[in-house]
Amino acid sequence: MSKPKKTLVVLAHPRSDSLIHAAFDRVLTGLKRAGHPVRTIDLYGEDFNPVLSLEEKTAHIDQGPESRPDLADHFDALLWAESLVLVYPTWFGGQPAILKGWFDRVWMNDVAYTLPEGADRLRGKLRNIRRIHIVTTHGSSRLINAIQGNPGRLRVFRTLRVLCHPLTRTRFTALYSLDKIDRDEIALWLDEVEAEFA
Amino acid sequence: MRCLVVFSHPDPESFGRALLDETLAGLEQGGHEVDLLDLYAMGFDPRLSAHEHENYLDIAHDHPTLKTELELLQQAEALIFVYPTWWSGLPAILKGFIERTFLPDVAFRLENDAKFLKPNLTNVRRLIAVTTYGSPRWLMRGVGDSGRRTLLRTVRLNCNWRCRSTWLGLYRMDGINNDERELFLADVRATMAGLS
Repeated sequence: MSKPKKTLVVLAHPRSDSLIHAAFDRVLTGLKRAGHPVRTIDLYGEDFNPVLSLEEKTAHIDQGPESRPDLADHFDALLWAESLVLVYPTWFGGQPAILKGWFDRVWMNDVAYTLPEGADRLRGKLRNIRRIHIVTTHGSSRLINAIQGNPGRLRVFRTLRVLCHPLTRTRFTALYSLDKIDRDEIALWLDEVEAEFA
Repeated sequence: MRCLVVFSHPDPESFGRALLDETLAGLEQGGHEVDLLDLYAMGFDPRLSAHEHENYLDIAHDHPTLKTELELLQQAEALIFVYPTWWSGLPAILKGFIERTFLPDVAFRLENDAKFLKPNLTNVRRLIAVTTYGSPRWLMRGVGDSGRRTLLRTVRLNCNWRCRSTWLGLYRMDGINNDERELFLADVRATMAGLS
């Protein structure tokens, strides 16, 4: 068994009877079995507001997390994690708005990156994160998602990953054609999800 | 053309706002009919609710809160999105607008045994995005430009199959000078005025 890794699991689905919630539970079961310390964020559960405000937009460059005490727990969890797990349904090719807004608001200056005076590009700051794992479901087929170009996956594995440790590994556990497959296939996928984390 | 402009920027004094102003001025110049949805000004909530999810398949027929928005979508001949690119994509408020309004029987149709969704926004023949990036163009290409894929592929798949699209991106926003910004504004206005 691998060395215990501090793991932050972020969940984004409005319904507790959803397949995504079931997958989330299996992720936690797997992580527990393997003995990893876990923290969770249930974005819908805590009624997270994903809309970056004017005040935040203005503070984006020259202020740090101290300007947003309401997000303190989120910053803390993100800076604590060695492994980040995102569990969400893929909607219109990517993360649901509530999760996109979590990136927009929580991955802020002096938490996820710094922008030193005179530099023209962000410097990543989440060197604590060495592994990013997406667990997601798609209503459409693998082919349609390929045509759409998997924007959600690219955003996390290319754009956000650069802010993490340079050797960050990524993994994508996905289910496709949700409305066309039967219960057995779904059950099988959930087993696979649990096994991935155990 | 009948144009639906969807604007997403929190700052009424930003460059993003100037882009909206040029868009509207250009459309007026071209004699187009314009509907505007200013998502921040509307206080739009981008979170698809549990109720919307549970009733997803037929909620569009009698939507509790978004009737106007759904009508505007179904009337539009051109769809125009004006927004800043954040983390390679749409601001959450705009991503959520799409999730909540691009519904079955509005944006697409689900037919029994059909292999794929059928596009239903056959009224939309033009798709235009006006956006700003902090990063240079080569970097956006390298990371796959998720926002562009979301609009020009995922959203585009719901429109008329002959729908033409135009991408107006200003890259490296903070590293360029005023002339370049002015040039871009002029480009936006000219594109809108010449829309066909």
